Amino acid sequence: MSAMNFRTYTMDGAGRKRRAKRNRGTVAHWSLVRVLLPFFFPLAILFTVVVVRVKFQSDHEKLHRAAAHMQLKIHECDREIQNLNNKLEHFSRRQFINQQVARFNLPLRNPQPGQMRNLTGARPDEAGAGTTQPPRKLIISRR
Amino acid sequence: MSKDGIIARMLLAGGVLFVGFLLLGARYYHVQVGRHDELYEKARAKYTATAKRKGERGLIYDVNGNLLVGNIPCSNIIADPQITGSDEQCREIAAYFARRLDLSPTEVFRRLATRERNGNPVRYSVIERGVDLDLAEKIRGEIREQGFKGIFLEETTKRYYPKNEMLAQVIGFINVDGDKEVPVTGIEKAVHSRLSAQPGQRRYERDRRGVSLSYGREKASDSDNGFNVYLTINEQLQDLLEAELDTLCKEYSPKAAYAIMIDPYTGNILALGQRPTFNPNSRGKMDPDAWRNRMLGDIFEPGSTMKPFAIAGALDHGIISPQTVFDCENGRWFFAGKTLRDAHGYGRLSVTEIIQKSSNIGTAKISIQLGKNRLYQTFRRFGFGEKTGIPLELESRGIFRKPEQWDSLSISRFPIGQGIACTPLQLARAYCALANGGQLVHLRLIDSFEDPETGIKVKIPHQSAAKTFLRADTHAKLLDMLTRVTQTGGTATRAAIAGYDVAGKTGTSQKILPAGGYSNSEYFASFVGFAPADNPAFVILVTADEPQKNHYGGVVAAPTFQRIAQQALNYLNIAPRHLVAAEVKPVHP
Repeated sequence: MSAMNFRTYTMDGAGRKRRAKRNRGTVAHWSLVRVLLPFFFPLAILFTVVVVRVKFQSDHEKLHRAAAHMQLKIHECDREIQNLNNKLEHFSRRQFINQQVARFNLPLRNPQPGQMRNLTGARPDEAGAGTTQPPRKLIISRR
Repeated sequence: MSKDGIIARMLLAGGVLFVGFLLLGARYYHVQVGRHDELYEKARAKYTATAKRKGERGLIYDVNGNLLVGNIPCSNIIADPQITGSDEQCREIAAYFARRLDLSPTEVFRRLATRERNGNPVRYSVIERGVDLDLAEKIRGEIREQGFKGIFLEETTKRYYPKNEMLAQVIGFINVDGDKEVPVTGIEKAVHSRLSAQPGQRRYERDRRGVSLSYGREKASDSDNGFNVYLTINEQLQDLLEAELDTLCKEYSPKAAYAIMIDPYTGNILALGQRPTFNPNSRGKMDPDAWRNRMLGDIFEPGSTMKPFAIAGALDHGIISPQTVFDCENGRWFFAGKTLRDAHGYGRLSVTEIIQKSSNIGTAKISIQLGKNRLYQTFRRFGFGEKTGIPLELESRGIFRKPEQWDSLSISRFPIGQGIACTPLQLARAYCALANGGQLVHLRLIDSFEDPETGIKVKIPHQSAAKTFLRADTHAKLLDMLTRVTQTGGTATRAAIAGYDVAGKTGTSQKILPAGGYSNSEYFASFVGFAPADNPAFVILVTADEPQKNHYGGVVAAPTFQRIAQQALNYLNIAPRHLVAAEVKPVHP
């Protein structure tokens, strides 16, 4: 255990004066706080409100920018989809399909009349579901 | 310092501050109140952006929603000559674009280096319009890599015809003049006002990066896309019709050829093809002669395809029956100072045989018995001399004179399709009346318009049809005669389809020479028919203009009809009426 040093002071006249002065200073500080508090408190609240508001605004702007960025991306995707749809339409042409069938020598032929039948029936997921909608038509090949 | 000195200094400082505040207040008032409007406008101009919204031109679909005309996203490459840099830098940019887009480097440089026009600074110069999306994205990356300044990619769309030559004359095309779309022909022109988009714009306050401020003011007027148009055309039928037209052209090398397929009950045009044709996507190779819609604007003498109408009139007025016999003079008959000939010499023929063998003399004699006024009225009831109502421009009425203007020969020549001219569409429409039991339907090419925003479709209503037959049994009698044309002994056995009854009529007409008279070497070879005869799914007209090797409608046009009709019946899932041995053919040749 380390040694502990104590210093003792005797309360002489000078000490009392210093203490009184210190006490006077404390009283003065407290009275200053009491005077300024009514001003500072609303200012502090105002400051807080402003900070919160700025933060909120900044977050809002950040979100807005992100939304704008996302909208731009969606727009670009839309354009790409539109482009792909056009390509799809080009490739879905009968002439193009026939060319590919010939190119790859696929054993396909056109269906004969009567080979396709329109059957009316409920889909398995709709059977017994108690739906009031009319059943969808299914096209079933006889091949 | 004395107490008075301190007070004086404080007063001085206070006074200075007061005056300072007073000046600031005055300045504040001047800025905020006095120059409010001016400064507010300045700030607004700086932080307000305007985005123009063009809207998209309406799309064109077939009846099943297959896209026939679309808009393809692309980019315009724009330069701001104020910031593209020095001439050296402009030359570098020009060389890059010349290489990448196959442009003239001199021309690109000229556009980049033109910084002033009529004393005004140039800030918008188009380097290339309508660069494809994929290529534009690559160019965007390369511009960034190479650090070119003042080059922007402006989003736009261009008209795209994904089916290339298919239905080209009907759809037509548009030209682009700056931002303006100029329709040139076809549906693009006929319904331009409905297809056109209404431009709009959005004014918004933006930050320094150009992003709109969430709390900023915004004023937007929406752009409206043009209406989508749905045609009555069926893409699959159109495709097979055009493929068979190509086969006809390969075999007989005609100057032109066209084919039309119509639903006789609704008047819906299912397919409409013409050769020569053009690809609206390749403007550089387009032949203006191929733009013309011959099926609507060109007229021709229909030849023997007119005969059924004269016979229908005579049957309607009870002048003849299918069994009535006429002397066909062994192929040569002198009437009104001119000789009328048949292709083959026939003796006595019944009315049914007159149609089956296509006797000119027999038909002329029947018409003479009918009389010119009743013949004229019969032809009028079948729609000759009037427009079909197709919403395309430059439709011809044909040439069909009033009885007062007929000469002595007219009554023997008009019923065999000479001296009378019609458009292919008029003839096909008249056959619709023969096919459907006597209703002269109004032809429909546009089925509906669709609002792209709401998806609501407005259907173009069917117009009521006029009656063509005066007697109820005329249709059945005529149907029997026309069915015999494609059977053994008829002129169009090559139009017969195994398992189905096919009704129709061949036509071979000499072309009129510009100097007058008829050509002995130039012909129109036609066949118009419908199948199945008793409940037709379609009427098809096939015509070859100046075919080589052969000029008979039964040889040139009838086989094309047969191939189109056979495939169409298969496609429409119409089973044969008679049992035939199934013939399995591969889909490719």
